[in-house]
Amino acid sequence: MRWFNLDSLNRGNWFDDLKKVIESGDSIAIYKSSDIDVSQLELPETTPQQTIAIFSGGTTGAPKLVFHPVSELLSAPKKPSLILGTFYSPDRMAGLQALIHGLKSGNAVFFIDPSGTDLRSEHPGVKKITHLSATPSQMRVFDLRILLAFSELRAITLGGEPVTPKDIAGLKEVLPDLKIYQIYASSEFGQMCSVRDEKPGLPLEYFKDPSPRFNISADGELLYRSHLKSNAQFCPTGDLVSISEGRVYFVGRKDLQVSVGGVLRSPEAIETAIKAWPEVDDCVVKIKTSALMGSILVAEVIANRAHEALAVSDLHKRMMELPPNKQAQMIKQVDRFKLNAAGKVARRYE
Amino acid sequence: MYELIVKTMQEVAEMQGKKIGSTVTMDSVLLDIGLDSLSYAILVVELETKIGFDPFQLESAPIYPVTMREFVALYEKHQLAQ
Repeated sequence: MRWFNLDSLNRGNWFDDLKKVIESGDSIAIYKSSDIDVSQLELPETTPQQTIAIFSGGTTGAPKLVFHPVSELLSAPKKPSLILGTFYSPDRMAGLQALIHGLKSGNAVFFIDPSGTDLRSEHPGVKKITHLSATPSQMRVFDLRILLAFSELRAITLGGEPVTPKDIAGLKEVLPDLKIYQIYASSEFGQMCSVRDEKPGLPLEYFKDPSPRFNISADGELLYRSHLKSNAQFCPTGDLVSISEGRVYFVGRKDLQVSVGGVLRSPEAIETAIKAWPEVDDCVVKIKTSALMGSILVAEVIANRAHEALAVSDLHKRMMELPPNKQAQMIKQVDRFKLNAAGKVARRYE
Repeated sequence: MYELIVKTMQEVAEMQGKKIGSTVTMDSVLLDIGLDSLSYAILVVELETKIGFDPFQLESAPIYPVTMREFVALYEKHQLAQ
C-alpha cells in the first residue's frame, strides 16, 4: 500500500493518475500534504484486497484514515449518463465516489476548486455537468446565478452539514426545476440516507418503518442501524437531533458541546438562535481556546444585506437576553466564513 | 500597552453589560475593577486580535496576575519577545 499525495500533482492530472493507480490494482491512501502531515503515520504493507484509504474530515477531532475496499466502491450502482461536478477533492469520500463513478462510466468528472472559479471555465465539458455535489457552505460562497449557464444541470447533492431552508430557497430561486438531494453520511457508516423531498432534516418515516434505520436515544442522539447488516444494532452517530412538526432536525454535534462558565453549550444551537435575528444573514459559532476559561464561543455573523450597518453592540445586548446555554461570549461581523479542507465551516476561532 | 488594555477593558465591559471603575490604575486589583473571570477571558481574546498574541497561552505554567501592573507586565514581557 502506498501514499498518493494530491498536492504533488498538477490539478489537471488528478483524474488520469488516480485512474491509472486504481486500474493497476494497487492499494493507496489519498491525501493532501497541505492538509495532513503523514510523516509520522504508517500504512499496512499489504491489504487483503485492493483498498483506497482517505482521511475523515476532522471537523471535531484529528482526521483519521478510513479504509474502503475498491470492490465495495465499484459495486455501487450508478447511472452512466451522469456527468459529475464536485467541490470535494478525491481525498474526501464524496470526491472519491465521484472519481469511482467516472471510472465506471467512462465520463469525465470535474473537480471544482472550492472558490467556485472553475464554474466560469470555458471548457466545453464543464457546461455539460448534469449533477453537482458540494457542502452547503461551499454553495453559499458564490452567486448562484452562475448556475444558469449550466443548461444540462439537473440536480445538486448537498452533504456534510445540515441544509437550511435558505439553502434550498436560494437554489430554487435561480433554478426552480433543479432537484436538490441531501446526503446524510459519515466516515464511519458511509452514506446513511439520501433525502429527496427538498426539506431540511430527516422525514419521521425513517424512524417508523417496520425495520427503521434510525432511532433517537434518551439524550437526543441520533442512532443508526446499517441496512447492509442483518440484525445490526443501533449505533450512535454523534449527532444531536430534535423532533418538530413531523420532522427530525439536526441540533449539533454531541462532541462539539462546550462547557463555558459551567454551562454546557452547543455551538450549532446558538447559531440557530442567532440566525433568527432579522439583521443576521448567516452565523457560525466557533470555539476559541482560553487559558483562563478552557474555551469561549465566538459567533461570527454575516449581516443581512438589508441591514448593512449592523450594530454588533446591539446584537451583544440581545445575546444577553437569551438563556445562558444559547449565549456565545463574543460576536464578530465577517464578510464570509473560512472553510476547512473538507469544505465545511472551520470550527476553531483563530 | 496600558492604554490599549484599559480601552479594551472598557469595550469588553460595555459588551458584557458591566461597569468598570472610573479610574483604573496600575495598582488596581483586577477582581475589583468590575470585570468577572469570563470578561477577562474575552479581554484576552480581544487583545490577541489586536496585538497578535495571547501571553497566557505562551507561558509554560499557569499564571495568575493579581494587579493591573502584573497584567500589563505580562503583556509587555511577551511583546518584547515577539
